[in-house]
Amino acid sequence: MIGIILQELKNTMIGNKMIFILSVLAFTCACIGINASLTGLMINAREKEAVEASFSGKTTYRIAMDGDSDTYMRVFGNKNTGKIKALFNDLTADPHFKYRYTSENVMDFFDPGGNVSAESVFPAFKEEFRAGYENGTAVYDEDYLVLKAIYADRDFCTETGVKIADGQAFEADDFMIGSADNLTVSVLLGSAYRDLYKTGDRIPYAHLGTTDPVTLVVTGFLDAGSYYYDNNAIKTILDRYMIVPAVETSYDGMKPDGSYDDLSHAAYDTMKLIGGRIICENARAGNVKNEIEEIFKRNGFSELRLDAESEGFAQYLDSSRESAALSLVITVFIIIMISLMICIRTVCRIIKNRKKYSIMMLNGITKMKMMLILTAETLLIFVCSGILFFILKTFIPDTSPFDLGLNDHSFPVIAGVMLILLMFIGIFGVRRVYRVDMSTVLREHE
Amino acid sequence: MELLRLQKITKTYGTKKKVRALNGFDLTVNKNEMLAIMGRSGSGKSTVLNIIAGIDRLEGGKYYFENTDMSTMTGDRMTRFRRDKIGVVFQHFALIDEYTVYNNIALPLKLSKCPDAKADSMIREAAGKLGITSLLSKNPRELSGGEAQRAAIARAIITEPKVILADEPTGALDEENGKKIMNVFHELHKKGNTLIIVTHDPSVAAQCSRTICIKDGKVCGTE
Repeated sequence: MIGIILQELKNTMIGNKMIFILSVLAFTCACIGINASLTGLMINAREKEAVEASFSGKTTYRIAMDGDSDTYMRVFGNKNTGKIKALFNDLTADPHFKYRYTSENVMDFFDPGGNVSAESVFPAFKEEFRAGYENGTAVYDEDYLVLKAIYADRDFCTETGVKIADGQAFEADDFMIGSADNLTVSVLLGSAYRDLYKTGDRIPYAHLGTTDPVTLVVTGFLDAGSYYYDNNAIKTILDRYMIVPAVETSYDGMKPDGSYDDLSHAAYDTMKLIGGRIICENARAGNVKNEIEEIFKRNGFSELRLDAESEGFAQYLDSSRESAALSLVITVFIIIMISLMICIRTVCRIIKNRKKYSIMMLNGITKMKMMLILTAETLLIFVCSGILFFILKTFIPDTSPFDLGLNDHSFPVIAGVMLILLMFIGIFGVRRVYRVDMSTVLREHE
Repeated sequence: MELLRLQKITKTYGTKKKVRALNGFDLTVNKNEMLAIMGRSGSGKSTVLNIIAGIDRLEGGKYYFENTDMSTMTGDRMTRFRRDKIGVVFQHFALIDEYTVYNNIALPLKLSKCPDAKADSMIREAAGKLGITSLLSKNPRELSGGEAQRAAIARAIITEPKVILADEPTGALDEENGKKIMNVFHELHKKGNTLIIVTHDPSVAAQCSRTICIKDGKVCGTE
């Protein structure tokens, strides 16, 4: 039987070379189309999930600032630390909205005196580097290390995606610093750090934007795959992050000259405000905006403004949904066209080969074997199309507008379409073949 | 000894304009018989062969082959019966043009999962008997009518069927090739094969051990 199938495939490839090549090209285009459409659908679904998780169906505003770098320096200069702290306290105390200020930044590790180097003080330095930065984007030399960090607000540990595997979540005391001396700060570590540290370990020479180093105390580890969504609805997997509290100070850090100590200034730097997010119920959105603008004015920050976040994303999501729907329509259309093409091809093949198939039936071919013969050619077209698709995928760079990046669902969907078409061709083809009037065909003289 | 029996067979073709091909047709064929079926065009000769071969389904009556009721047999069971018990030869040979003569003869063996080595020796033996060994690698289009018909006979006998059905086997051949083909049939008959030959040609019928004549779908005479 294999011999007969191979003979039929040979006839197909050599006898109907052009039709075979066109069929392969057509199905390759269909694979590309299905892949692209599915990618569009998946991106939309992911964005929708991200936006829903990020904005929770509420109105959000982001705090932004007008002005150039001079304005920036003036507003957030050391001497304004007290004003910033007052503004921050006003924002966090207001019951009409939620103020969130979790931000992604880095954690520096170095000895400010330069008396110790990474290699002498941090025996596991390189491992930390590996754990913290998978792709080597960290700055690292002999005495300086930068690791990924999240500066978490008080609600961070209650986020849906944040799961504590070992140890405990941050408590209120972890966020409040009473003295700048011999400072220790709690830290939760991503799952990638589990081989390097255990709960209770102390990690020295960290810097929270301060000159003096602080010691981090490991209070726990996050579950692998823990995540959070930032202001841009981008999902951040936390496995390689250090989570430190975005600390506040309970002491007055003002020095005699009117400036503030390093820790106070670092605790109330721009990160707490620029990029901070105001979240409120949709019905209260207008009032909240007015109220916050009033708070800015009251605290002397007329340069700050509120940018609508969720509205823009809602509009973006609408247009993304439309393009996803269009992708779906195109995908369905492609599948229908392929099915039609293959059906027409099968019917033409049966009509053209009706004498051959009648002779096979005369000589005892069973329905199952006939099905194998009818589907073998289509299977060969599918296999060649698949190979061509992967060759194209290999040669076209991911950055190209014709990016063929294979998404997770393309292979099962394309394979499923192929399987259904093969079954359809097999069943439909056999029914069609058995409707041929064998006795008449066999008595025909060509 | 009886090989097959057709009892009061009826068969109608067409849906709107119905044509009754067989109308209470009776026939008994014994083993090692060489039977000729004659009749005018449209009398139902070929329909008889089609029913015996299981190509057409009968509408009424009974068909027994080696005392097995074939009337209700359908699908793959009928296909296997045809492959194992029946060899069919057509006027225009019914060979697959894209296959070599070898592969045409091998077709029933390949479909019955016969091992390659055994199939090869069977094909060469059959080709030897029919004098077409030198043609095995050729395509049917390269053969003369007589050669093609011998290839078709080789395919028909390769599974050593109980009965060989031949529908106008000499109809497309010249006199000389016709004689050669009839000689082949005589050889097969001598070796114990049962043959049923549909023909218009009285000289072919005269060479058979029995001749029946069909008219309007019924047996109208026996010689």
